[in-house]
Amino acid sequence: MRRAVLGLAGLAASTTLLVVVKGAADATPTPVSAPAVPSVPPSGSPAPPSGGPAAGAGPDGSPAPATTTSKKPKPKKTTSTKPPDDDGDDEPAPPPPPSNRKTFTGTREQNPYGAVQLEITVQGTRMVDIRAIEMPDSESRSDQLSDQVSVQLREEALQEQGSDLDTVSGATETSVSYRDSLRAAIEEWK
Amino acid sequence: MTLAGIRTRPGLRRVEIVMGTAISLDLADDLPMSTLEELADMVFGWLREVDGRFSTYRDDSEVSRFGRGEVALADASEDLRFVLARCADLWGETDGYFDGYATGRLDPSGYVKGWSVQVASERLLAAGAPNHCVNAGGDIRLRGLSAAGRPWRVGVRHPWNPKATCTVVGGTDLAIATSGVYERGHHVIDPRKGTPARGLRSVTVVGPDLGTADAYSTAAIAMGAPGARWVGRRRGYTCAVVTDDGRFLRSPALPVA
Repeated sequence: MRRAVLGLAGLAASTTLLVVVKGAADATPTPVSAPAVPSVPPSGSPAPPSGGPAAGAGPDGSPAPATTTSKKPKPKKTTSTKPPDDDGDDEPAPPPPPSNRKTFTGTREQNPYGAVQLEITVQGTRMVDIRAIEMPDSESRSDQLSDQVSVQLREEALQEQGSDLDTVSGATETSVSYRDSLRAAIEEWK
Repeated sequence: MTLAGIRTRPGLRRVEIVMGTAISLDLADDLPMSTLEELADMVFGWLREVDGRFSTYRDDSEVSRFGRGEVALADASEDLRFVLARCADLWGETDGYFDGYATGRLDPSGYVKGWSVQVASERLLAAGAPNHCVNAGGDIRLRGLSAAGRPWRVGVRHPWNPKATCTVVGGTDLAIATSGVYERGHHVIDPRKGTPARGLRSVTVVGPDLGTADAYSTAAIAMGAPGARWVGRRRGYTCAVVTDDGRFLRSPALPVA
């Protein structure tokens, strides 16, 4: 996103998207040989006491570590086994779309962390939504890490994305895989 | 960036690709559709104008010409002078960790996207559309109420589980920027060491101005572990931080929904 690239007048230029992808190519991650996530305690190491007191706010008003209130069930693993168009497990079914809406599915793009696949919704000549059908767990050890995180984050802070959210903030949408799948969905539409 | 299911409601939603990023506009005012279309055209027209002026991928953009010394500062557009001044301020405020010259040449992209979305939101407000949400690749400026008639609710992506959020913030007048190193691995470079920054996995900054929030979140990631304390002290801004070892830290005043 920082190096990000150019725009595309409207959606007219899939060739321009090619340039986008090319321009972003230097951000492509190289396969990680060393773990990208250090400091995962070995399985026998003590976890923070469940429900225990926070370590206390840091000095100078730095953020306070959150306390753990309970263990959250392991987040559902979503990589690779899921049919491309099956999203029913993760989101409530939307109401039947008006007939002038169409959806187009992008290619399933592999990256070192998993796969990305997008679906766009088009109404008339406009794109009105982008949805991620599939996003990678960020590391191959994600099951282990998810357990680790679930223990340490506050339970109320770890929510499944649902219809009560209006939008999501995150750093995912700038990835090369995201752009590739989006480009494919747009080409499918055009 | 999965959004809520399609609903029948007032307002308009549109997604376009500008600045290499999918930008989602959600207009929640119950205005005539023709008016909403004009407002959306205004927003995306402005964003494309900014892209044309600030793209470092176009040799003929103003920022490229300025970077090559072909445009003097005094002759630069008001927008470019404003962006350069803010980048200089943020370079000082972040102790050099936010650096518009990090790539070796002038590249203020890290500020321009948030700033341009902030301006778009202000223009919508001035144009009589005070209820809207603009999401530019995960960086968000929102105002007023959603079409459901309640404050906007924004999930912050969980770094290790892309189908989950690790917190939800809400409000009626907020900028929310997230920088993270999930999915692409550690790709934010510490400009002092020239090596990838480690320590923080995801930093979300919430406050009044999106360009500033975006610069703060990027700088905090670049700082590594000390960035958590640094970003927690930004006046007028709150934060949520996930560390590489899975700790979740947040400002007590974060507007959790």
